[in-house]
Amino acid sequence: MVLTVDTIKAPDTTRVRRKFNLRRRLVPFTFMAPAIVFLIVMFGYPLFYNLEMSLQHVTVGTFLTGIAPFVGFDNYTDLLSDPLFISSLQRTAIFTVLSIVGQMSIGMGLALFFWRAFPFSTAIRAMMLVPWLLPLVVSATIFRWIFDLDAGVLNYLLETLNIIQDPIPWITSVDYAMPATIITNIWVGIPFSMAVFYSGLQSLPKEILEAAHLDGATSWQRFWRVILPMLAPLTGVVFTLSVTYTVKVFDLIYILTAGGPANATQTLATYAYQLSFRNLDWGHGAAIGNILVVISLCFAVFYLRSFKKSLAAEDV
Amino acid sequence: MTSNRGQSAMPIGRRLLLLSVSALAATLPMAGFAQAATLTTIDYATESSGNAMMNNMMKVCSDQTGITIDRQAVPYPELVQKVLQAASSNSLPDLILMDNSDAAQLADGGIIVPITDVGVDLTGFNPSIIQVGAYKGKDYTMQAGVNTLALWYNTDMFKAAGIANPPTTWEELKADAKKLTSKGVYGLSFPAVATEEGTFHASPFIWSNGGDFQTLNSPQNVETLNYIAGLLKDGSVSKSVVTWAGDDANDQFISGRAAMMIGGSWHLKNNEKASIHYNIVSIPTPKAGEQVKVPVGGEAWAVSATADKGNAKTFLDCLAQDPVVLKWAESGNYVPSKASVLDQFRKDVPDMVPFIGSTAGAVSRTSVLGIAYPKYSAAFSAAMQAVLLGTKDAKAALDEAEAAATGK
Repeated sequence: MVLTVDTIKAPDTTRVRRKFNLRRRLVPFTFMAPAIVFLIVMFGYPLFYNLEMSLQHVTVGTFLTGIAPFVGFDNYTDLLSDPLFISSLQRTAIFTVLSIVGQMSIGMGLALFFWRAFPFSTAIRAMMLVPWLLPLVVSATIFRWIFDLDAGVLNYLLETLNIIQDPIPWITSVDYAMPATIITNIWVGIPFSMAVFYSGLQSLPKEILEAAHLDGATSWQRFWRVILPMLAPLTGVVFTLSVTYTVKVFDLIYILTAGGPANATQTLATYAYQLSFRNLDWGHGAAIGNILVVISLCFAVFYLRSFKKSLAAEDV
Repeated sequence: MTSNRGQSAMPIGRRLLLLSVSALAATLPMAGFAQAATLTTIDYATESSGNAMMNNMMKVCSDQTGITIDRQAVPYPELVQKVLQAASSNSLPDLILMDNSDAAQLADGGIIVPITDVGVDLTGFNPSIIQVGAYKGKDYTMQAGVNTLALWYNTDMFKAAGIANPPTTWEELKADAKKLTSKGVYGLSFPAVATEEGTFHASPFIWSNGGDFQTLNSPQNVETLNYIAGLLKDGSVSKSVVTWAGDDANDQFISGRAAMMIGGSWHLKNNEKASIHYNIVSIPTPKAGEQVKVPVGGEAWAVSATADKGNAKTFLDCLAQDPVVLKWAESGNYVPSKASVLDQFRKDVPDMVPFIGSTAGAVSRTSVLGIAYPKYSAAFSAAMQAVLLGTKDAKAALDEAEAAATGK
């Protein structure tokens, strides 16, 4: 793909352009081939298998005999009349929306905070990444202890500061369990959005910000009218990745509450686990798995389209 | 696989010869060793003391029968998955040592075969323990020992509260728990987490009150949940029980934050080292003098569909001998399944005596519900949590659970 002087000087520019476009479109695919093969084998096959399973009545015996009767979309229609599935879907939505709002706004706030360098800011910023580096099992176990009703450090702190009189049943009440789970998930997710936003802020052209400053824009206006629009593509990335991560969070919830108390934190991921691995009902479990995949896929498509748009905008 | 049955008694020279002959047939994957009296086994004794105990027991019968054991241990939650995975890749272990509640699932799938088909001799085994691993009228497991639940109580706290004897009825349990509760100390602890452990620990209360898990919303079950919820309402039990697994409840007990605990014999090994003084008695029953009904856990042997039945029988017959059963029970803190060794066992492990009486009332969780049990158990534990926390009325919660479990 070397542009020669000839091609540039060629008289029929549209033809060359078309040919050039075709090559431009084809060549990447040859480069992508190994990745595509890898994706088909490592991701395509499990996805297909999961899809197949969700259309079958899979029992313990299936693993020995390989026999699983085809049931069409029965597993999916069963789910629609399962109140626990519907409520898990709602809880997943609440969990995802609130987690992401929290993660992204706090992450952005911290990124702005660290943007203007101050003594030890690099060291503190590095420490902020710790939640990200800790294995989720560790974080969730620590939070279980923090939230403990009788011996938890959070209740101890709040009581000592006279903020509350009676201990809050963080993970032992159907009302507080979901907020507690969301708080934990936000804590886990902050470093990611902070790190991405921070690197985005670093790459912003200083002259535009200076110009805005000179034009008398307040810091509030500079954030909403200048910084945020310029970070829009990055926000899209953080948003999509956070959504796809959050809708399928399993280990954190499972360790913190095991989906309880009384299903108060049962999300699609934990319910799918319960169906597949506790009830050994793989057909319905796989169906929920696929629903999760479709939800993630919707956001991924949304992300790719907005990403394309922003690329097109740059081309112009 | 049938041609080499009974190799176990062969002299070592002939076994070596056979080994070298079968090594020539190298085209058969793994066949060389499998035919020359090797059994593959899978169990969940991954924790160090359990692991060492398993190795010891395997060695006893390996030495006696000449069968080599190729043992694999995986964490309990992975055991069934691992077995199913092995089934789908045609590499099922010959012997599976699993929790007896998993037997119904595996039996239903044809993964394990009835133990009577293999010809293992179960005479002398406690019938109430054999039926725990039954499915559709057939016995699938050989369980040398079982563990079960009892009431553990802190003797110092009882003395301080002026309570002379441990509670034997529900009423006494409630009154004592209230009396023993003070700042930082709850009267009673038990696990009520939203997993099988929660259901397991509640089952003595459900069954002893005449209820069962087949009909979740029976009046007896409503009464039982109201009783347990009452303990929380009194403040005698922490609301945190809904997040506690068995070990968490035990931590509360041995650290002196709970005066009593519903806990299993498997805590003995750990709790012997604890700094508190405790005693163990049967779980209180609704009325005085009743036989408490308990769930039994513990590992049960089953023979897989693809196993060499001859070798499997030889090996399990060895494990079923009185001295081996006794050794197994003593080293793992199980109640031995054979009445013939109980006298010796009582002498050797006095701590286990309260558990022995309870196993007479052993009830199977899965022999009636079979493969539907996990669904009922999950629905029940969710209902129980709602009732314990006071968010739902017991009747309403159990009606809902019944509907969820039966799919109506």
